[in-house]
Amino acid sequence: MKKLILATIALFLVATGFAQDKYFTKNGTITFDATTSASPEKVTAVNKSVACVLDSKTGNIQFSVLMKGFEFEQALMREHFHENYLESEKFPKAIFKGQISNPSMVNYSKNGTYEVNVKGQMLMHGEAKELETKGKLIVNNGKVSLSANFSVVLTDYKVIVPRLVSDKVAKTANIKVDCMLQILSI
Amino acid sequence: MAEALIINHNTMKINKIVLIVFVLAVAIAGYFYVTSEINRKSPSMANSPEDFVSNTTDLLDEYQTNPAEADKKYLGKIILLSGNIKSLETSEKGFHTIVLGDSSSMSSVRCSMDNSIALDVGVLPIGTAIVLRGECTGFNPDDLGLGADVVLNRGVLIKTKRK
Repeated sequence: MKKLILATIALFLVATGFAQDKYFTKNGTITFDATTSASPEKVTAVNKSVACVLDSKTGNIQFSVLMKGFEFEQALMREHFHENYLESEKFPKAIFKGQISNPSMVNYSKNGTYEVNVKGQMLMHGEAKELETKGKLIVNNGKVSLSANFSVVLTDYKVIVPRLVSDKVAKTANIKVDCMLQILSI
Repeated sequence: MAEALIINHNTMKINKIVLIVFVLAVAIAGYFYVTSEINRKSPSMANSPEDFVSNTTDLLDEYQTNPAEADKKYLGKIILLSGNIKSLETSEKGFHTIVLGDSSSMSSVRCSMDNSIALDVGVLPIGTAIVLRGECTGFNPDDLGLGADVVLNRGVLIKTKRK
């Protein structure tokens, strides 16, 4: 009986220790901007339901983005984005799996702003490409805010913008990531 | 002969005018059509008819049983969904997400609400039975260890049934 109690306590400690190494959100925001200087209107979209898990111990980080979750103000832009360019029904999800290459730089128990490098692989529109970017982690009383800005070349992911609108839709999209992570408690 | 020539000339003139008016009318109509298409806003869920009526349990079951089939059926479609509020989350940018489902399960239906429509979160305590309308954006299986979720967006609260 004593052994069973000790084993249960040990299992609980391992489980909680494991969980507290992880931070997550399901409400992260990604903004997509492919506006050109000649475009009369902004070619921007926002996705407010981005899932992200960060393992503070290993620096492993993963994002899951449902493509249909990108919202546009203009309906026509939205239709073209989902039906013609990103083919959201055929490729419903974009995934990034990577790692903070300098995880020891971040002290998750001390409030502060930490510059990080993130390197990994992004799968979008059925194409997987290596991606490396700088990001910022802000630790504030147990919560971790994560932000990054980077660009993606649309043709790298076989996203073809027709010539007719090539002066309005940029060949390179700016991506802005904002996630407020909280400790994952199991 | 001369009279016939004059008549013919006049007919040609009239035809030309008709053609110019026709081309102008088509050009103006085309301009207005293209302008209205470019400026057409995404319709609010408050005024959009639903493609499906469901509840949290059934929708989750369908997605967990066969995600590919459920995607074929629901992806991009408008769902009128009933369920109980499990939690209400507000991001640092002020975007609200209503999470529906059973509090004993990690799986949920998450609906990101339309932030152009005011939402009084004070009248939505946990456990409240509600009906909302939103567009299905897909399914996140439990591969991140966070529970499986069906995700809706542009959500609008339709009905609140207080306990």
